[in-house]
Amino acid sequence: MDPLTHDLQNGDTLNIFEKNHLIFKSSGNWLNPLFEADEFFKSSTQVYEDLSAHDTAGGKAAAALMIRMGIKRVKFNLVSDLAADLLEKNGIELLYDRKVDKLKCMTEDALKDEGNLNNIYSFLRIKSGRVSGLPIDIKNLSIGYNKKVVFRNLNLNLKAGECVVIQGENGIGKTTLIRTLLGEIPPVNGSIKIEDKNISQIDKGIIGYIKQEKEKQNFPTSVREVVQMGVREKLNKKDLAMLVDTSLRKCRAQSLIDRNYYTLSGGEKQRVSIARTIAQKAKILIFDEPTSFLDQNSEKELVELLQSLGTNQMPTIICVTHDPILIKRLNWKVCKMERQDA
Amino acid sequence: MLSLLLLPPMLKALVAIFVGGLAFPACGVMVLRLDLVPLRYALMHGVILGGAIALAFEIPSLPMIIIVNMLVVVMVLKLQSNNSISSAAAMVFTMGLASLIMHIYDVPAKDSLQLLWGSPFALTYLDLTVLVVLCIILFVYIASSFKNIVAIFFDNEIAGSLGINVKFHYSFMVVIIALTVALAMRLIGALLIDALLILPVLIASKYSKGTKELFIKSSLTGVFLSVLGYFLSLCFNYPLSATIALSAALMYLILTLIQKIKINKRYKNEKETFIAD
Repeated sequence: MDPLTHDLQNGDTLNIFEKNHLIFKSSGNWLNPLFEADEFFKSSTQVYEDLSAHDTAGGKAAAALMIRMGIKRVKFNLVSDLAADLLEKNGIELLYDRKVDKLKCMTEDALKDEGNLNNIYSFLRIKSGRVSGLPIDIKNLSIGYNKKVVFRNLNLNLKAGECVVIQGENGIGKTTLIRTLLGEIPPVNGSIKIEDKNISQIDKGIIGYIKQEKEKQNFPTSVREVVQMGVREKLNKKDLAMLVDTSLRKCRAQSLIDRNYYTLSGGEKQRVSIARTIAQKAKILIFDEPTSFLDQNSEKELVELLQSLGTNQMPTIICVTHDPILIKRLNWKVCKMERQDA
Repeated sequence: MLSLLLLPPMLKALVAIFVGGLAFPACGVMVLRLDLVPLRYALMHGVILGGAIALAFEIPSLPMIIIVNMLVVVMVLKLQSNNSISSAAAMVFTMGLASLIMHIYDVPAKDSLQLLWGSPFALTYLDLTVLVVLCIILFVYIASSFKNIVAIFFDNEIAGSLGINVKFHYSFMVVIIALTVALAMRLIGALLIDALLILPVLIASKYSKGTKELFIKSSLTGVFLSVLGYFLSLCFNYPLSATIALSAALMYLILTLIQKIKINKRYKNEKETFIAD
């Protein structure tokens, strides 16, 4: 018997089935049941091949979330044209009781012209507050050393989970900016606030820093040790091993765990460094010229990893670079640092 | 030989050489990973100055050497903007002062040469106690701060971004290195200090994949070399520092040679496979 032909029971607003078996149900509102389901699938080790879902109402947002989850058949009691179009484009079978032009909500309006599923997903996670990142507010910031200003009046406002590229030519003050963001040197003027707290008041470990490697070293440092150095909480051996393993898996670097970090390729090193920040549970990631020593393939892999990180974990990411190819590939918001007159 | 070993100076020397073999390479890991080779030279010259002052004023040498080395550390840390340059300055200054003191106070040349060669048989119980205490402090520190040490070895800025007090750990390690160099000079002398401080680390680094492995293998290599050198010295009646240094240098050369042969063989095999394909 097709489970989608039944009505939703006991106040449920969402049911998800694998073949005919109910595997997930929720009675939440708005997109919350779908986000709960998203978490359920992310934490599950089982492989689901024939998923179907029954939801009360579906707009473009719900449709996008269901497509990302791998649901193949959907029943909505009420569906919008925008959702139906998106489902059809992605080859999803749609059943419904009633169809309207569009749902009367702000989310549906905001997504009207957006076709990229990852962008829709990121937008919805930011809107629902399901991000691991923190908001950053930089106001009239002047940076430099010993009161000597290198760059002045930088303004940047980032929502929690937002990704930005800071572009600027060599010598313009990008490294000084990073050192200021890391709290290594104080701002000459202006302010940097992270979640309304001044940069000097925040817990340092919340910022994960991935820098370009300038010196070539040969001394042995295992990948496991590099990732472990990011772990800030006190864990027993088993939990620590699990955290390191999970962090490396997320970056497709698990097979490197016992290798010497300094014998890895540039791309592998970057993956391990990102795994370190995942183990660190960093809420803000700062990348300093991440592609400087990478070949084309590694650069492509890094871009995919950064985009997946930006979409799935959603820390706030600041990528400082002068590489126009990276900027184009990432397709993130760009903040330009331009040369200023003395 | 067993009856020889039971003599207090011989037994004391064996204990000292064993503890030194364990601790000095662990310290050598810090010297190499923090790129403090120039500082180590400055400290070695600091020992000569300390020794010269002690000889000139006929006071115990170890406390004097430690005081001078601490002053060298303070000077280098204060001028930290360029480690190599400040270390070189400290080196020249200490050596110049040592030479002046030796000349003014007419320090016998033979006594000053003792500083260059050292002798574990001449260690006092105070020296031995300081060495054991230093070894305990060193290993307790490494075990309790291992993650921080690895992070600082990896990159100072990243360690700082992780909330690690880099300045404290760096200074602590430099002080430990200063004390170790002072004791190593008493044990095997200025000229052969690298035999226990650096060579075991270079040997171990050929066969280690991580920092933990490097610390353990360096210390074990250090113990092996120092005990081997000790027994070779007893058997052939050669100076102990020379047998340790030669054993270490030979081991390093042989292992480097084996590694080179292995690499060449692998390269040749890969080339043959490539041609066959």
